[in-house]
Amino acid sequence: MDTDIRGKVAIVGIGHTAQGELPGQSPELNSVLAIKEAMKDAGIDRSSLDGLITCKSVQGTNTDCQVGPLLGINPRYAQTLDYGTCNFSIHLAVQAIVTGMADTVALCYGANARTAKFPFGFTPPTLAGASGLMHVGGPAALALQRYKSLYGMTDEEFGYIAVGAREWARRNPVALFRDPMSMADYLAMDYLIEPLRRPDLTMISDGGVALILTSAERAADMPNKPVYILGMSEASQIRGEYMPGYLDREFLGLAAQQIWNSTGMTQSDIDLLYVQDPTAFWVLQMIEHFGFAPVGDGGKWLAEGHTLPGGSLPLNTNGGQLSECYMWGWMHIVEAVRQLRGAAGPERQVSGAEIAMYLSTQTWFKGGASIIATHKG
Amino acid sequence: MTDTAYTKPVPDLDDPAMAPFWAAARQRRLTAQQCTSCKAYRFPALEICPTCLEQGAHWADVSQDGTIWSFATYHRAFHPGFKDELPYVVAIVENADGIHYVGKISGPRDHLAVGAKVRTLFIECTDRFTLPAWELVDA
Repeated sequence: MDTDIRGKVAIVGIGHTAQGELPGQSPELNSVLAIKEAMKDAGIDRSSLDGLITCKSVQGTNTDCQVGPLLGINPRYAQTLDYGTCNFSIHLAVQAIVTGMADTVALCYGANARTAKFPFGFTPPTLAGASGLMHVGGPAALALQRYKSLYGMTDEEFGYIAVGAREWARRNPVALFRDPMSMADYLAMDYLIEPLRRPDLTMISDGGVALILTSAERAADMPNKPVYILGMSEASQIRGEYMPGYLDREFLGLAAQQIWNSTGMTQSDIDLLYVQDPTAFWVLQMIEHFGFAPVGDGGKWLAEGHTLPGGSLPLNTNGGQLSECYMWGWMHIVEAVRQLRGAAGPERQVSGAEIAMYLSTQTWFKGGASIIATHKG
Repeated sequence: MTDTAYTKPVPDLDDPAMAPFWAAARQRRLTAQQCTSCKAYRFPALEICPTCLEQGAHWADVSQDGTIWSFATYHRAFHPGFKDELPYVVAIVENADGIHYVGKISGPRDHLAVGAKVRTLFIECTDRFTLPAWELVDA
């Protein structure tokens, strides 16, 4: 069976709302406002859309049936992903387009977690909650502490993720955290959940973001330079906390193997790397599990400066969730498309970038990877 | 200590799936669910054994000796009940039967380490609720 998806589908539109605090705007409204921008970007109107994939907001809303009434269309293909970090949504859209179930699909995410004051520190009525394990920073701090014990990474080596994110965000007008943060500033900060400091954890913000995907044939007639999907893969650990050592997230290695094998590409082919970053440690894990640095040496590799402006593998050039905004990784792909179009602006455009990789996870349950490029393969 | 004096989160002690665990803790016993067919342990409770897909299970006493898989130190209270004991330490402990428990680590932080030996400590939080936690075993 022909399972090659290389170059068959392209991202032709990107759109987003302002990021930050959007009081009075629902996740669904933020989604629709973002789709409006993405359609404008793609040079299409709603009559071209025959697919819609929405991603539930952190509060569990923003389903296709909740977005539909505001968007005013009945596309033949409509789906909602429970946790649609942009990878899973892109993969579903590619599947729908290559199988002919949809021609042109809008993908969206919307959230108002900040102004709705979503309780991220929520305490579950369990042994873990009663023991004081709460907030996503708790599990990430456990994973990081173990890693540091096994491999001896220093705080400074680890700090390159948060400090690098801020360096990039300073060059991005959309980013919310743009104040300078040097390594000395970072190291001087108190621990929040030791060994994590505040800048190692995602911010919380409101906003909406959308993409338009279509077939390569249709993309050829559209105004923007298409950004093609060259490869995609996923892996799961849906047994979750019942897997001893689940926080090491070694299952991500399977997603890595798949995408390198199916594309025939290697780490050295990647010009830009985007890694969803609810915590800085999840980023380090993904860098290692996808083979950009050997497991245990990620800290030393980071300290060599590869991921910083001017480095050989720019990482999260938007500033990521640590410094740009909290859109579950969706703004990472918007940034990747901007970079590949050569439209990221003089301050942060990486010259000659042709291939980007995007990695994301649903905590320790699922992981996905996509490779996107300026050419079909 | 009375119920009203305890300000930290109390688990759902009446949840039928987990009630035997909390009842055992009051008797200073650490337990896990065990499959009657294949004898595999599981914790927290599940309706079926994920190893053999048989439903029969009972709660078995398990080892109160363990090692720290990893630990995290909270310097901020995300729940107001923890304010008074900052910084506090939460760990994942692997007991001698290979079962992983989340648990608070009591006592000084100086000798905390991944792989450090610990034993179960039962904290009587309220008249109805005893929290299994852990303390370092002197080397």
